[in-house]
Amino acid sequence: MTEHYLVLAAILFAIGGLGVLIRRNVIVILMSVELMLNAVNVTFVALARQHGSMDGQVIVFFVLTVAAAEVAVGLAIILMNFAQRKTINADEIRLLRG
Amino acid sequence: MIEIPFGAAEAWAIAPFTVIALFAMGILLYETFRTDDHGPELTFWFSILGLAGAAIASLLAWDNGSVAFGGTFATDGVAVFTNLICILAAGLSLMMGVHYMELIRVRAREFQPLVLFAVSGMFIMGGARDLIVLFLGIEVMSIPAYVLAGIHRQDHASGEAALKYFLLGAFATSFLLYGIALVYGATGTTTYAGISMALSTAPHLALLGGIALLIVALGFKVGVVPFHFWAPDVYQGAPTAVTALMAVGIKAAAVVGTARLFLSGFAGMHVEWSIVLWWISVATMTLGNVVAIVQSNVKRMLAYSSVAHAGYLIAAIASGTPRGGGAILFYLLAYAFMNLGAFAVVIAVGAKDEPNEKMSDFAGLATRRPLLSGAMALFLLSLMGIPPLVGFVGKLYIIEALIAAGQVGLGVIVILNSVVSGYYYLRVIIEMFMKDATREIPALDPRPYLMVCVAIALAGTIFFGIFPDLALEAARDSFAALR
Repeated sequence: MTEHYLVLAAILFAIGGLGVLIRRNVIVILMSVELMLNAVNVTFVALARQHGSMDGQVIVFFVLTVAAAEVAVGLAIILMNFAQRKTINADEIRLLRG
Repeated sequence: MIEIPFGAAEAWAIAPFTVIALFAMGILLYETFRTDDHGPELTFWFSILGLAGAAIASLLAWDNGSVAFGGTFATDGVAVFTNLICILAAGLSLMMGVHYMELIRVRAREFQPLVLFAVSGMFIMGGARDLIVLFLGIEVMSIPAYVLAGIHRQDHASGEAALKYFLLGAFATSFLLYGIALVYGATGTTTYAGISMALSTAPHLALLGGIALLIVALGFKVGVVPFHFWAPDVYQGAPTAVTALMAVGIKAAAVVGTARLFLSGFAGMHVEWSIVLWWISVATMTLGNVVAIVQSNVKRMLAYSSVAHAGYLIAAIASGTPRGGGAILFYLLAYAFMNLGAFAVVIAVGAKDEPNEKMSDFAGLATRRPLLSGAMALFLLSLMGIPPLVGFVGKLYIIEALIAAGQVGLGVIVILNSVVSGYYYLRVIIEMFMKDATREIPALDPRPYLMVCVAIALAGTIFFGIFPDLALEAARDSFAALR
């Protein structure tokens, strides 16, 4: 049974990764990263169940906490960029090249 | 679930980052409640006090034999050595920041506390003996760094650097966690000790997948090819004092975290991962050096040069021996002095509203600022690896460790790359000493903190080049005692 959860998590992770690579709206990229993190959480819970230990479930709390802190900082950075150039399109934010 | 005790070993293990976090919070509160306009000097000295306290706490906590928190955290020589390098990087970056923040007209009172918070994350990375502790260390270090990269709020390049660093850092974090999940699935544990015991019985495919994902994620943090593309943009866009911290402190913590993971947790699978690291190392140093040649901005050139240096460090990890580990620690010390010095000079050449970071801005510098140019020349020669400077000794020991491990080919590639790197380092020296200034540059105000910073970096570059023995012994012993 564990395999089903692992496959689901792998698919979610791949969808998230694809989203980061092909979407150009920075907010959507951030959402895709969150999807990847949640795919990892599903994996951890499934594996914790399989191993019969609580470790994997405890790790999920760490991941959730850190992800929340990361989003708080990330949204502030996105806001700052929007205030600077009135756009959050990743293709239009490119000053540094070469 | 293991029972987590809290005794003397645990108290000492958390002492360094408790000290530094308390100082950071104290400064943050002080800055919040003090409303009048004041300079950064007072809080700067307070930060230095915090860093010194953390250094003393690290040295007192030094104990090669014991591990804390059920074996998930160590206060061994590797951790203490890393702590000291990160303290050096943070101290000198803060010192550069005193004048630099004024130079770029940024009144960011959170600058010093954020640097201290990032350092507390580096401490966690240096001592981590568990994948989850490593993950927490990376995040505690990176989240302040994302903010620091964008601390120049009026500057578009700084905002862009913060955005790129954040998005790619968060992307890398998800790979790190997926890697941890696969390793946990294969071995049933996240501690390095448990992983190394379970390696032989664990399902091979899941383990290889986990290791591959961990290499991708840690490669992002260290900035190795092909995951380096953020590094030049972020290093160039971020304020220079922050770039110095990122290029030295964060890189050092990430490299040591990687080295400890591979040399202790995954030591039993050396054959599998060393070939991957071999290719990454060769690609990183070669690409870093070749692309650095065509740069016209000195800060960006130093960014590519730091990518190349990451390649040398990964080469030492690929050797897979404690000797290679010792070479990494010594090289990080060497790299800290010479690279921080070079960034300090880049700041010193800049004036208000004129960053003066282009290669042509350095033309004829020797006639106007002979001492500064001399110092810059020594830093660049050391980065290149010219005796008797510290960069030479560092490279020598990496090559020696590679040969001792039977990786002669990799050693030769390191030497060839050093020759290539000479081209762009020497170009700056030629600009400074053999060309005339292309335009009138106004005389600069004296900036004592910056000059002290250059002097400390120069002293380290020369002293450890001539007398490397003590630091080298300490670096070697600490990795030999790694368990």
